[in-house]
Amino acid sequence: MANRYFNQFNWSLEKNPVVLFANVTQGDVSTVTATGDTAGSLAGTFFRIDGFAADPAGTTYMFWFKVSGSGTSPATPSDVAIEVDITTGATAATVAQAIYDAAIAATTTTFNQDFTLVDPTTGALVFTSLGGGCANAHDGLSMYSTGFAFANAATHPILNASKSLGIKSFARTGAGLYTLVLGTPAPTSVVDLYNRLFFVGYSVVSATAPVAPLAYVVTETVSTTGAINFKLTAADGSTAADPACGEVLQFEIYLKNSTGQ
Amino acid sequence: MANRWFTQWLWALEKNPAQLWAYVTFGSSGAPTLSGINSKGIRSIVRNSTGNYTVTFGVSGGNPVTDTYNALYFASRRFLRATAPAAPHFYVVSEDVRATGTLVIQFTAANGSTATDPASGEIVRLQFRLKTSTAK
Repeated sequence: MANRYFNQFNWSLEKNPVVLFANVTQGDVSTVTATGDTAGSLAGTFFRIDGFAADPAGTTYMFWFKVSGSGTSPATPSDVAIEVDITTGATAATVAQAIYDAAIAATTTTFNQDFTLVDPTTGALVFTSLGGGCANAHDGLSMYSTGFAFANAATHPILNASKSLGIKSFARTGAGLYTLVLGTPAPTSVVDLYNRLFFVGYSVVSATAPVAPLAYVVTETVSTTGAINFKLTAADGSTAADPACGEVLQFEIYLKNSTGQ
Repeated sequence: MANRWFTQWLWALEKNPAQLWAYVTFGSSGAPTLSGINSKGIRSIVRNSTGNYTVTFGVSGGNPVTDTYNALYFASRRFLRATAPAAPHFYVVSEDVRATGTLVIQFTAANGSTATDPASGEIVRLQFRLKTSTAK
Protein backbone atom coordinates (compact mmCIF):
# COMPACT_ATOMS: atom_id res chain seq x y z
CA MET A 1 0.00 0.00 0.00
CA ALA A 2 1.10 3.52 -0.71
CA ASN A 3 2.63 4.87 2.49
CA ARG A 4 1.77 8.52 1.92
CA TYR A 5 -0.01 11.30 3.73
CA PHE A 6 -2.98 11.89 1.48
CA ASN A 7 -5.12 14.97 1.79
CA GLN A 8 -8.57 13.96 2.91
CA PHE A 9 -10.41 16.92 1.48
CA ASN A 10 -11.51 17.67 -2.03
CA TRP A 11 -12.71 21.23 -2.02
CA SER A 12 -15.69 22.16 -4.09
CA LEU A 13 -18.26 24.90 -4.44
CA GLU A 14 -21.00 22.30 -4.84
CA LYS A 15 -22.88 20.94 -1.85
CA ASN A 16 -22.33 17.23 -1.20
CA PRO A 17 -20.59 16.21 -4.39
CA VAL A 18 -20.28 12.44 -4.79
CA VAL A 19 -17.92 10.39 -6.93
CA LEU A 20 -18.76 6.87 -8.06
CA PHE A 21 -16.80 4.48 -10.21
CA ALA A 22 -18.06 1.76 -12.52
CA ASN A 23 -16.00 -1.11 -13.91
CA VAL A 24 -17.46 -3.21 -16.70
CA THR A 25 -16.02 -6.12 -18.67
CA GLN A 26 -17.48 -6.79 -22.07
CA GLY A 27 -18.49 -10.41 -22.57
CA ASP A 28 -19.80 -12.51 -25.40
CA VAL A 29 -23.26 -13.81 -26.13
CA SER A 30 -22.92 -17.11 -27.94
CA THR A 31 -25.45 -18.34 -30.46
CA VAL A 32 -25.54 -21.98 -31.47
CA THR A 33 -27.66 -22.84 -34.48
CA ALA A 34 -28.40 -26.54 -34.48
CA THR A 35 -29.03 -28.66 -37.54
CA GLY A 36 -31.19 -31.75 -37.77
CA ASP A 37 -30.01 -35.32 -37.58
CA THR A 38 -29.71 -37.41 -40.72
CA ALA A 39 -29.68 -41.16 -40.19
CA GLY A 40 -27.83 -40.86 -36.91
CA SER A 41 -25.31 -38.33 -38.17
CA LEU A 42 -25.14 -36.58 -34.79
CA ALA A 43 -24.44 -39.73 -32.77
CA GLY A 44 -21.29 -39.25 -30.70
CA THR A 45 -20.72 -35.69 -31.90
CA PHE A 46 -20.35 -32.78 -29.52
CA PHE A 47 -19.87 -29.06 -29.12
CA ARG A 48 -18.36 -27.08 -26.28
CA ILE A 49 -19.15 -23.90 -24.44
CA ASP A 50 -16.99 -22.21 -21.81
CA GLY A 51 -18.36 -20.69 -18.63
CA PHE A 52 -16.67 -18.46 -16.08
CA ALA A 53 -19.20 -17.40 -13.43
CA ALA A 54 -19.07 -20.48 -11.21
CA ASP A 55 -15.37 -20.96 -11.82
CA PRO A 56 -13.39 -17.86 -12.89
CA ALA A 57 -10.69 -20.09 -14.35
CA GLY A 58 -13.30 -21.47 -16.72
CA THR A 59 -15.35 -24.62 -16.95
CA THR A 60 -15.94 -26.16 -20.35
CA TYR A 61 -19.25 -27.90 -20.89
CA MET A 62 -19.46 -30.52 -23.60
CA PHE A 63 -22.88 -31.29 -25.05
CA TRP A 64 -22.74 -34.67 -26.76
CA PHE A 65 -25.45 -36.51 -28.66
CA LYS A 66 -26.92 -39.94 -28.27
CA VAL A 67 -29.21 -40.73 -31.21
CA SER A 68 -31.87 -43.38 -30.58
CA GLY A 69 -29.51 -44.96 -28.04
CA SER A 70 -26.45 -44.87 -30.28
CA GLY A 71 -23.30 -42.86 -29.59
CA THR A 72 -20.90 -42.60 -26.69
CA SER A 73 -19.45 -39.72 -24.76
CA PRO A 74 -16.24 -38.50 -26.40
CA ALA A 75 -13.14 -38.83 -24.25
CA THR A 76 -12.65 -35.23 -23.12
CA PRO A 77 -11.97 -35.74 -19.42
CA SER A 78 -11.40 -32.09 -18.61
CA ASP A 79 -14.88 -31.16 -19.80
CA VAL A 80 -18.15 -31.41 -17.94
CA ALA A 81 -20.21 -33.71 -20.15
CA ILE A 82 -23.93 -33.12 -20.71
CA GLU A 83 -25.71 -35.86 -22.64
CA VAL A 84 -28.35 -34.86 -25.18
CA ASP A 85 -30.77 -37.60 -26.22
CA ILE A 86 -32.52 -37.31 -29.57
CA THR A 87 -34.08 -39.72 -32.04
CA THR A 88 -32.92 -40.51 -35.54
CA GLY A 89 -34.01 -37.85 -38.01
CA ALA A 90 -34.76 -35.23 -35.34
CA THR A 91 -35.34 -31.79 -36.82
CA ALA A 92 -33.14 -28.80 -36.03
CA ALA A 93 -35.82 -27.38 -33.75
CA THR A 94 -36.12 -30.69 -31.91
CA VAL A 95 -32.35 -30.91 -31.50
CA ALA A 96 -32.26 -27.35 -30.13
CA GLN A 97 -35.03 -28.14 -27.69
CA ALA A 98 -33.23 -31.29 -26.56
CA ILE A 99 -30.05 -29.29 -25.90
CA TYR A 100 -32.05 -26.78 -23.91
CA ASP A 101 -33.79 -29.47 -21.88
CA ALA A 102 -30.52 -31.27 -21.16
CA ALA A 103 -28.85 -28.03 -20.04
CA ILE A 104 -31.66 -27.05 -17.72
CA ALA A 105 -31.77 -30.55 -16.27
CA ALA A 106 -28.01 -30.65 -15.66
CA THR A 107 -28.41 -29.64 -12.05
CA THR A 108 -25.42 -31.70 -10.95
CA THR A 109 -23.18 -29.35 -12.93
CA THR A 110 -22.56 -25.62 -12.58
CA PHE A 111 -23.98 -24.90 -16.03
CA ASN A 112 -26.99 -23.03 -14.70
CA GLN A 113 -24.70 -20.84 -12.61
CA ASP A 114 -22.61 -20.01 -15.67
CA PHE A 115 -25.27 -19.34 -18.29
CA THR A 116 -28.77 -18.22 -18.96
CA LEU A 117 -30.39 -20.00 -21.87
CA VAL A 118 -33.63 -19.00 -23.55
CA ASP A 119 -36.09 -21.71 -24.47
CA PRO A 120 -35.60 -22.04 -28.24
CA THR A 121 -38.44 -21.53 -30.65
CA THR A 122 -36.22 -22.00 -33.70
CA GLY A 123 -32.95 -23.80 -34.28
CA ALA A 124 -30.95 -21.08 -32.56
CA LEU A 125 -29.89 -21.31 -28.94
CA VAL A 126 -28.59 -18.19 -27.26
CA PHE A 127 -26.19 -18.80 -24.38
CA THR A 128 -25.63 -15.70 -22.29
CA SER A 129 -22.58 -16.07 -20.11
CA LEU A 130 -22.98 -14.77 -16.58
CA GLY A 131 -19.24 -14.59 -16.04
CA GLY A 132 -17.86 -13.20 -19.27
CA GLY A 133 -15.36 -14.96 -21.43
CA CYS A 134 -14.82 -14.64 -25.15
CA ALA A 135 -15.60 -16.92 -28.09
CA ASN A 136 -17.21 -19.31 -25.66
CA ALA A 137 -19.00 -21.60 -28.10
CA HIS A 138 -17.10 -23.88 -30.45
CA ASP A 139 -17.65 -27.11 -32.28
CA GLY A 140 -16.19 -30.50 -31.45
CA LEU A 141 -13.00 -31.57 -33.15
CA SER A 142 -12.77 -33.19 -36.59
CA MET A 143 -14.82 -36.37 -36.78
CA TYR A 144 -16.78 -35.42 -33.67
CA SER A 145 -17.98 -32.06 -34.96
CA THR A 146 -21.71 -31.37 -35.12
CA GLY A 147 -21.59 -29.04 -38.10
CA PHE A 148 -23.69 -26.55 -36.16
CA ALA A 149 -23.17 -22.82 -36.70
CA PHE A 150 -21.49 -20.94 -33.85
CA ALA A 151 -21.44 -17.17 -33.40
CA ASN A 152 -20.10 -15.07 -30.58
CA ALA A 153 -21.13 -11.42 -30.30
CA ALA A 154 -19.55 -8.97 -27.85
CA THR A 155 -22.83 -7.59 -26.58
CA HIS A 156 -22.94 -8.64 -22.95
CA PRO A 157 -21.42 -6.16 -20.49
CA ILE A 158 -20.75 -7.56 -17.04
CA LEU A 159 -20.59 -5.17 -14.09
CA ASN A 160 -17.67 -5.89 -11.76
CA ALA A 161 -19.54 -5.24 -8.53
CA SER A 162 -16.52 -4.99 -6.24
CA LYS A 163 -15.21 -2.05 -8.27
CA SER A 164 -18.61 -0.49 -8.89
CA LEU A 165 -20.05 0.50 -5.54
CA GLY A 166 -23.21 2.54 -6.00
CA ILE A 167 -23.94 1.11 -9.44
CA LYS A 168 -27.04 -1.05 -9.80
CA SER A 169 -26.67 -2.22 -13.38
CA PHE A 170 -25.06 -1.65 -16.74
CA ALA A 171 -26.94 -3.01 -19.72
CA ARG A 172 -26.75 -2.84 -23.48
CA THR A 173 -29.83 -1.38 -25.17
CA GLY A 174 -28.63 -1.29 -28.79
CA ALA A 175 -25.53 -1.02 -30.92
CA GLY A 176 -23.10 1.03 -28.84
CA LEU A 177 -25.91 2.07 -26.51
CA TYR A 178 -25.69 1.31 -22.82
CA THR A 179 -27.67 2.30 -19.76
CA LEU A 180 -26.08 2.63 -16.35
CA VAL A 181 -28.41 2.72 -13.35
CA LEU A 182 -27.25 4.08 -10.01
CA GLY A 183 -27.99 2.10 -6.85
CA THR A 184 -27.21 -1.38 -5.62
CA PRO A 185 -27.35 -4.59 -7.65
CA ALA A 186 -29.35 -7.71 -6.90
CA PRO A 187 -30.43 -9.04 -4.51
CA THR A 188 -31.21 -5.68 -2.94
CA SER A 189 -31.79 -3.97 -6.32
CA VAL A 190 -32.30 -0.44 -5.08
CA VAL A 191 -32.19 2.56 -7.39
CA ASP A 192 -30.39 5.63 -6.03
CA LEU A 193 -31.46 9.07 -7.17
CA TYR A 194 -29.22 12.12 -7.19
CA ASN A 195 -29.99 15.77 -7.69
CA ARG A 196 -27.71 16.31 -10.61
CA LEU A 197 -25.05 14.78 -12.81
CA PHE A 198 -21.93 16.92 -12.82
CA PHE A 199 -19.48 14.98 -14.93
CA VAL A 200 -18.67 11.57 -16.39
CA GLY A 201 -15.25 10.28 -17.40
CA TYR A 202 -14.66 7.19 -19.53
CA SER A 203 -11.56 5.13 -20.19
CA VAL A 204 -10.75 1.67 -21.47
CA VAL A 205 -8.31 -1.02 -20.36
CA SER A 206 -7.38 -3.19 -23.32
CA ALA A 207 -4.32 -5.02 -24.56
CA THR A 208 -4.99 -3.71 -28.06
CA ALA A 209 -6.54 -0.54 -29.45
CA PRO A 210 -10.10 -0.39 -28.10
CA VAL A 211 -13.00 -0.68 -30.50
CA ALA A 212 -14.97 2.00 -28.68
CA PRO A 213 -12.46 4.49 -27.27
CA LEU A 214 -14.97 7.30 -26.83
CA ALA A 215 -18.28 7.74 -25.07
CA TYR A 216 -20.79 10.47 -24.51
CA VAL A 217 -23.93 10.86 -22.44
CA VAL A 218 -27.01 10.70 -24.66
CA THR A 219 -29.51 11.42 -21.90
CA GLU A 220 -29.54 11.28 -18.13
CA THR A 221 -32.34 11.13 -15.59
CA VAL A 222 -30.38 10.74 -12.38
CA SER A 223 -32.97 12.72 -10.42
CA THR A 224 -35.96 10.60 -11.45
CA THR A 225 -34.82 7.12 -12.54
CA GLY A 226 -31.13 7.11 -11.60
CA ALA A 227 -30.18 6.33 -15.18
CA ILE A 228 -27.41 7.54 -17.47
CA ASN A 229 -27.60 6.56 -21.13
CA PHE A 230 -24.29 6.35 -22.94
CA LYS A 231 -23.32 6.00 -26.55
CA LEU A 232 -19.95 4.36 -27.09
CA THR A 233 -18.31 5.19 -30.37
CA ALA A 234 -15.40 4.41 -32.63
CA ALA A 235 -12.46 6.78 -32.79
CA ASP A 236 -14.37 9.08 -35.14
CA GLY A 237 -16.62 10.04 -32.24
CA SER A 238 -19.87 9.28 -34.03
CA THR A 239 -20.03 5.66 -35.23
CA ALA A 240 -21.74 3.51 -32.61
CA ALA A 241 -19.47 0.71 -31.48
CA ASP A 242 -19.69 -2.12 -28.98
CA PRO A 243 -16.47 -2.75 -27.06
CA ALA A 244 -14.67 -5.92 -28.02
CA CYS A 245 -14.97 -8.92 -25.78
CA GLY A 246 -12.56 -8.68 -22.86
CA GLU A 247 -12.22 -4.92 -22.93
CA VAL A 248 -12.68 -3.29 -19.53
CA LEU A 249 -14.62 -0.03 -19.36
CA GLN A 250 -13.99 2.38 -16.51
CA PHE A 251 -16.35 5.20 -15.62
CA GLU A 252 -15.87 8.06 -13.16
CA ILE A 253 -19.18 9.71 -12.27
CA TYR A 254 -19.62 12.94 -10.31
CA LEU A 255 -23.05 13.64 -8.86
CA LYS A 256 -24.79 16.09 -6.60
CA ASN A 257 -26.39 14.55 -3.53
CA SER A 258 -28.00 17.62 -2.08
CA THR A 259 -30.94 19.89 -2.76
CA GLY A 260 -28.86 22.81 -1.51
CA GLN A 261 -28.03 25.48 -4.06
CA MET B 1 -6.68 32.62 -4.87
CA ALA B 2 -10.37 32.04 -5.33
CA ASN B 3 -12.14 33.72 -2.44
CA ARG B 4 -15.00 31.25 -2.07
CA TRP B 5 -16.55 29.10 0.63
CA PHE B 6 -15.74 25.64 -0.66
CA THR B 7 -17.25 22.37 0.51
CA GLN B 8 -14.42 20.23 1.82
CA TRP B 9 -15.87 16.79 1.24
CA LEU B 10 -16.18 14.65 -1.84
CA TRP B 11 -18.37 11.76 -0.82
CA ALA B 12 -17.71 8.28 -2.12
CA LEU B 13 -18.82 4.72 -1.46
CA GLU B 14 -15.29 3.47 -2.00
CA LYS B 15 -12.93 3.39 0.98
CA ASN B 16 -9.98 5.75 0.73
CA PRO B 17 -10.11 6.70 -2.92
CA ALA B 18 -7.06 8.65 -4.00
CA GLN B 19 -6.48 10.89 -6.96
CA LEU B 20 -3.13 11.55 -8.55
CA TRP B 21 -2.17 13.73 -11.45
CA ALA B 22 0.90 13.67 -13.63
CA TYR B 23 2.12 16.58 -15.68
CA VAL B 24 4.17 15.37 -18.63
CA THR B 25 5.92 17.37 -21.33
CA PHE B 26 6.96 15.51 -24.46
CA GLY B 27 10.12 16.14 -26.40
CA SER B 28 11.40 14.79 -29.69
CA SER B 29 10.60 11.15 -30.44
CA GLY B 30 8.02 11.14 -27.68
CA ALA B 31 10.54 11.52 -24.87
CA PRO B 32 8.56 12.31 -21.70
CA THR B 33 9.63 14.69 -18.95
CA LEU B 34 7.77 14.54 -15.68
CA SER B 35 7.19 17.77 -13.80
CA GLY B 36 7.80 16.65 -10.24
CA ILE B 37 6.13 19.60 -8.54
CA ASN B 38 2.97 18.95 -10.58
CA SER B 39 3.08 15.17 -10.33
CA LYS B 40 2.85 14.21 -6.68
CA GLY B 41 2.74 10.45 -6.20
CA ILE B 42 4.22 9.72 -9.62
CA ARG B 43 7.67 8.16 -9.56
CA SER B 44 8.36 7.99 -13.26
CA ILE B 45 7.06 7.75 -16.79
CA VAL B 46 9.15 5.82 -19.28
CA ARG B 47 8.67 5.42 -23.02
CA ASN B 48 8.64 1.77 -24.08
CA SER B 49 7.84 2.15 -27.77
CA THR B 50 5.87 4.44 -30.04
CA GLY B 51 3.14 6.03 -27.96
CA ASN B 52 3.59 3.39 -25.25
CA TYR B 53 4.59 4.45 -21.74
CA THR B 54 4.94 2.88 -18.32
CA VAL B 55 3.85 5.00 -15.39
CA THR B 56 5.17 4.07 -11.95
CA PHE B 57 3.56 5.42 -8.80
CA GLY B 58 5.68 6.61 -5.88
CA VAL B 59 8.25 9.32 -5.43
CA SER B 60 11.32 10.14 -7.47
CA GLY B 61 14.43 12.03 -6.51
CA GLY B 62 17.29 10.97 -4.31
CA ASN B 63 15.38 8.29 -2.43
CA PRO B 64 12.89 6.90 -4.94
CA VAL B 65 10.10 4.70 -3.62
CA THR B 66 7.40 2.81 -5.49
CA ASP B 67 3.84 3.01 -4.19
CA THR B 68 1.33 0.23 -4.71
CA TYR B 69 -2.45 0.53 -4.55
CA ASN B 70 -5.29 -1.92 -4.16
CA ALA B 71 -7.13 -1.09 -7.35
CA LEU B 72 -7.15 1.23 -10.31
CA TYR B 73 -10.57 2.82 -10.74
CA PHE B 74 -9.94 5.15 -13.58
CA ALA B 75 -7.27 6.68 -15.78
CA SER B 76 -7.61 9.54 -18.18
CA ARG B 77 -5.73 12.37 -19.85
CA ARG B 78 -6.15 15.91 -21.09
CA PHE B 79 -3.87 17.63 -23.53
CA LEU B 80 -2.80 21.19 -22.87
CA ARG B 81 -2.12 22.51 -26.31
CA ALA B 82 -3.39 25.16 -28.67
CA THR B 83 -3.67 22.90 -31.69
CA ALA B 84 -5.01 19.38 -32.20
CA PRO B 85 -2.81 16.83 -30.43
CA ALA B 86 -0.89 14.33 -32.52
CA ALA B 87 -2.12 11.39 -30.46
CA PRO B 88 -5.51 12.32 -29.04
CA HIS B 89 -6.63 8.82 -28.09
CA PHE B 90 -5.47 6.94 -25.05
CA TYR B 91 -6.11 3.64 -23.36
CA VAL B 92 -4.68 1.52 -20.56
CA VAL B 93 -2.90 -1.50 -21.99
CA SER B 94 -2.36 -3.19 -18.65
CA GLU B 95 -2.16 -2.33 -14.99
CA ASP B 96 -0.40 -3.89 -12.04
CA VAL B 97 -0.96 -1.29 -9.35
CA ARG B 98 -1.23 -3.89 -6.59
CA ALA B 99 2.10 -5.61 -7.13
CA THR B 100 4.44 -3.25 -8.94
CA GLY B 101 2.64 0.09 -8.77
CA THR B 102 2.69 0.44 -12.53
CA LEU B 103 0.41 0.74 -15.49
CA VAL B 104 1.12 0.82 -19.20
CA ILE B 105 -0.69 3.37 -21.35
CA GLN B 106 -0.91 3.77 -25.09
CA PHE B 107 -1.45 6.93 -27.12
CA THR B 108 -2.85 6.56 -30.62
CA ALA B 109 -3.59 8.77 -33.60
CA ALA B 110 -7.04 10.12 -34.40
CA ASN B 111 -7.97 6.82 -36.03
CA GLY B 112 -7.82 5.26 -32.58
CA SER B 113 -5.47 2.44 -33.56
CA THR B 114 -2.15 3.74 -34.91
CA ALA B 115 0.37 3.96 -32.11
CA THR B 116 1.64 7.55 -32.08
CA ASP B 117 3.92 9.61 -29.86
CA PRO B 118 2.63 12.93 -28.57
CA ALA B 119 4.32 15.69 -30.57
CA SER B 120 7.30 17.57 -29.28
CA GLY B 121 6.17 20.36 -27.00
CA GLU B 122 2.84 18.81 -26.14
CA ILE B 123 1.83 18.71 -22.50
CA VAL B 124 -0.44 16.04 -21.06
CA ARG B 125 -2.22 15.99 -17.75
CA LEU B 126 -2.76 12.38 -16.68
CA GLN B 127 -5.35 11.58 -14.04
CA PHE B 128 -5.43 8.40 -11.95
CA ARG B 129 -8.09 7.30 -9.46
CA LEU B 130 -6.85 4.58 -7.11
CA LYS B 131 -7.91 2.65 -4.05
CA THR B 132 -5.70 2.94 -0.97
CA SER B 133 -7.60 0.56 1.24
CA THR B 134 -8.01 -3.19 1.52
CA ALA B 135 -11.54 -2.75 2.87
CA LYS B 136 -14.42 -3.80 0.67
